Amino acid sequence: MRGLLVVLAALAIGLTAAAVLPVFYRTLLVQAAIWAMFCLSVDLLLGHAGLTSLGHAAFFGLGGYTAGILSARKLLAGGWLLETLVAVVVVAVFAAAVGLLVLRARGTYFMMVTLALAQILWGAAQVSRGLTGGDDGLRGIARPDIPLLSLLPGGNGYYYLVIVLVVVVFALVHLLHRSPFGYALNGLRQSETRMEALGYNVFLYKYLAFVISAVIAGFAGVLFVYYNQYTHPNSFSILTSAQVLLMAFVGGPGTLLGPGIGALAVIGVQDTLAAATERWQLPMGLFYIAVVLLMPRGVLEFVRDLARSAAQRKARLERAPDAAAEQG
Amino acid sequence: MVSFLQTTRLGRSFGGLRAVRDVALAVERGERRGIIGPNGAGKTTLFHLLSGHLKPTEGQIWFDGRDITRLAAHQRARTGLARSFQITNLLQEMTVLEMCVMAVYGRHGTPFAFLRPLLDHHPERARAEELLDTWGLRELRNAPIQALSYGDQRLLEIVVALAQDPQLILLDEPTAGLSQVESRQVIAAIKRLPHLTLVLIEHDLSVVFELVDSITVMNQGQELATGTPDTVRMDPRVQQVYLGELVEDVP
Repeated sequence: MRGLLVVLAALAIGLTAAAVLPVFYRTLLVQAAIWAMFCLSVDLLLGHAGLTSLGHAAFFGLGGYTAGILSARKLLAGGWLLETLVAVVVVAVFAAAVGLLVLRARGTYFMMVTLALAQILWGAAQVSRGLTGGDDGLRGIARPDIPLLSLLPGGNGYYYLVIVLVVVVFALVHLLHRSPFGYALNGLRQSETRMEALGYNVFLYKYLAFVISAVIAGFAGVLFVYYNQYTHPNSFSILTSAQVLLMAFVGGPGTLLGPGIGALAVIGVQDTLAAATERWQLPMGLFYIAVVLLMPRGVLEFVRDLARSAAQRKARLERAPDAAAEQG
Repeated sequence: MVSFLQTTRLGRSFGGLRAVRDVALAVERGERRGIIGPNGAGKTTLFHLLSGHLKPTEGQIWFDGRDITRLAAHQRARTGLARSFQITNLLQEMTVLEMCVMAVYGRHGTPFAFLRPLLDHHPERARAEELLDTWGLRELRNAPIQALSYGDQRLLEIVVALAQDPQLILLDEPTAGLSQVESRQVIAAIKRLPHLTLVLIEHDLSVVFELVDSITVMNQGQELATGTPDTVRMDPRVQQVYLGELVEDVP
């Protein structure tokens, strides 16, 4: 019940923000929301199951390309809902197949194998020009037209749709984290041998987490492509995978809101810098270094620590008069 | 007729090293068996073979009338074979209650519980709370495990094994690294265990003699002797391995 209220509140805030913000900030908010969903999928593996994927762009790009190709080439008569569904199923099947191989590796090897996976798709997207448009990218992707939501300010129903979907996915993942399944992922990050001894099939749990994570990443990829009405092989690139990992670290791995905060912070800083200077990548690097040095556990934990120490200071001040009275 | 837990010619090699070989263990239902032996005798390797954390290179393991040699560790846990670890192996970031519910859930639950919160699984939670009440950990139930004293963590290792609704518990050095007082508490806890089959590795021989009905002595990966505590104590081969330590240690 309380959870439902929180979801409704989040929806209200997100939709109001999208309605009242100026155009520049509204598009920024929508982009950040899509990246937040992508980042949420990465953090399910990174912050919970303890698997660092350096190739999540594979699923993000695959989802986006599948929906993009279906839309641009008008291969389906069913519209965006059917295109999205097909894209998500394609990503799920792909992840289910490669997961069997990829999850045999651990640690750094897992990072390398996932990176290789994304690079293969990147190469494939470059080469198969007939299907993907190659390095020119793919244009002519129709953005979903949402009849009722289009009546909201800005006249772009798709923005509002994205916000609703992102909030719903966050709520579902929150439930997932609190379920026995979510606890099992956290457990196997802490000790695989203990989880085995407790009767948990460690590989199966990792595998399910991998597929669920890929599906969420693929869904985010679909939303991203509809948003841009364009897709490019770079959606498969290591820069995409690295960017989303950095967002997870900026926000704080293993927290629900971390991916949202990380995405908002990175997209916000990046766009602001890009608007100010052509050489935005240099200050962006400094931003990452500052985060690592000042808030190694991410923005969310940093703010929590600040709040905690402020509360302690307040408690000390309240106790101080008593101590003074005792001495007097 | 096979025993409740039985191994035949059980062995494990690491390269050229035969860490465990030709072990024929036969533990009856309800028995409390101690496994002793000098450092490097293969006791913990034997435990890993029994729990499924290592695969044997030779031989078979039978448990409750079933050949479990090929079962993975998690499958063995689900047949009622629980274990504790020599070096405390708890899910440090969880609370005491959360880990106990996970232990209850791990025995019978499915991997497909995605949406209902862990602590809303009522039968499992009730069982976990009942155990924490019985074992005096009620006050600590909402504490993160990493905040517990080492003694409480060792006790929790045993409670977690019990939460798995086991038929047999493998206890790997339950009092290792504990102070005298903490050690007495854990021993008292093991004595209070319900009527379960127990296999116990222990370094402290006085502890073993206090807790078990029978003893298997291991040396250099092999079973040296098995029998009641008295016959084992009098066995000249055992005395030789321990350089007379047994006779002096136990009055």
